[in-house]
Amino acid sequence: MVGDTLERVRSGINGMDEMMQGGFAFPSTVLVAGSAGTGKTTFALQFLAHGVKDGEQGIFFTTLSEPTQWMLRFVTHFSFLDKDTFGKQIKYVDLGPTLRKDRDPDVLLKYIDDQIAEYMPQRIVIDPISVIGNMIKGDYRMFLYDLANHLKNWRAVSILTGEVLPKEPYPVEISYIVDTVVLLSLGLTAEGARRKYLEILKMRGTQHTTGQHLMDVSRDGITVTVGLK
Amino acid sequence: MSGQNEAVFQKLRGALGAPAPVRKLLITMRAQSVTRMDLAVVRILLAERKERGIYVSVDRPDKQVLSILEKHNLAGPGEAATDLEPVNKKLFIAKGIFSPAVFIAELLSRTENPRSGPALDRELREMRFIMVDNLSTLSAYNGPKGIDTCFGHMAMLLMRYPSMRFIAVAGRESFGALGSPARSFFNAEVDIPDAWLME
Repeated sequence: MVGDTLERVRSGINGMDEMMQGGFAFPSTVLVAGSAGTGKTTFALQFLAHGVKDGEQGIFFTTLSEPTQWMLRFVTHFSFLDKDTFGKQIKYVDLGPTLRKDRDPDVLLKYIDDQIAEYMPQRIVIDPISVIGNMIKGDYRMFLYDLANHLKNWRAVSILTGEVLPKEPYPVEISYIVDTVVLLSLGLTAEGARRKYLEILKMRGTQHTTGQHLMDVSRDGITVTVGLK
Repeated sequence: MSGQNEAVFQKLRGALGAPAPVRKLLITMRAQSVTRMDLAVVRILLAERKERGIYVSVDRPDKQVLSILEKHNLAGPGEAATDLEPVNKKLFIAKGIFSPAVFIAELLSRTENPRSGPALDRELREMRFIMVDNLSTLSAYNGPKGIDTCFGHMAMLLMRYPSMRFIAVAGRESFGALGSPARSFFNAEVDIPDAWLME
């Protein structure tokens, strides 16, 4: 059987674990890609919040999208987020100052390592990873390779979110270095209604459901309805 | 510390301080707790019991293990090393990626060196434990033969150094993939409740 030696952690995304043998492989790295408004940050927060329910710790690294307090203000209406976990079971770390001050990839990796070593989370999020490519000096692909290795060595499930550019289906450079690629997208139904979709494009060591599946974002977070398109 | 955590630590202390017949101790828990359990075990062995020993990680670089221990004040400057020489360190962190068998074979072979072997042998006789973290992941890198070789080498090491005991930390769910000979290798087992990580 595929994946019978892999431990699993539940994603926390309603309906998604049934698509992937019960959850993400532990440890592993996951790219959640999509254009603006598809629910990448919500996905990442729901994943961390579920970890808290399972007794785990999480780190949310923000890069250069928006200050943490503003991002949190807009997402705290979700029922899955318990504000009492902020700064406790879920630690928020802004990578922006380090990125702006020192564009050296080694310095950035060391900073990330130090934060993780101190807190030892089982779940890690970097949101979004894609902007780092324009900020650091040197080889972005090498940085991604090193980052993925570091993250896996920490024995955690790490979610990297990535912006999808108009001319590419997903961030190709990042997809090579992760174990799993989840694509969130928008589409129009035959009646002209806009819908959100979730698709697992790649998942190493796991038998997973393929194709696009309808995704709904409500106060309870993301729910995937497998089979509905 | 909460009552639940204290109870787990007491259980661990009891297992790690068990008398001589217990030389092969298996500590299981859910996989997400393994990294924290590694630290708890090292804390008891080094800080409380003042023992010296070897730490082998199956899936992490030795230098990363060293930096975690330093970060958590478990290995001060000069107290741990990643290069095995007779240096009188409290803890030697070995490269064990894929299988501790490679490291153990190299270690035993180095004790045969006529020049440096005797000093290394003396060093090893003073060590009280060899700890392997995340043992379950052996099955990700080894077939049944490789797993047998690993336990065979471990048995050889324990026979050569009677003051040393084997302590393995392993994810509960995937431990079964190592096969029944793996479980029967141990003569004591402690299972850590899932709630431990929640506190």
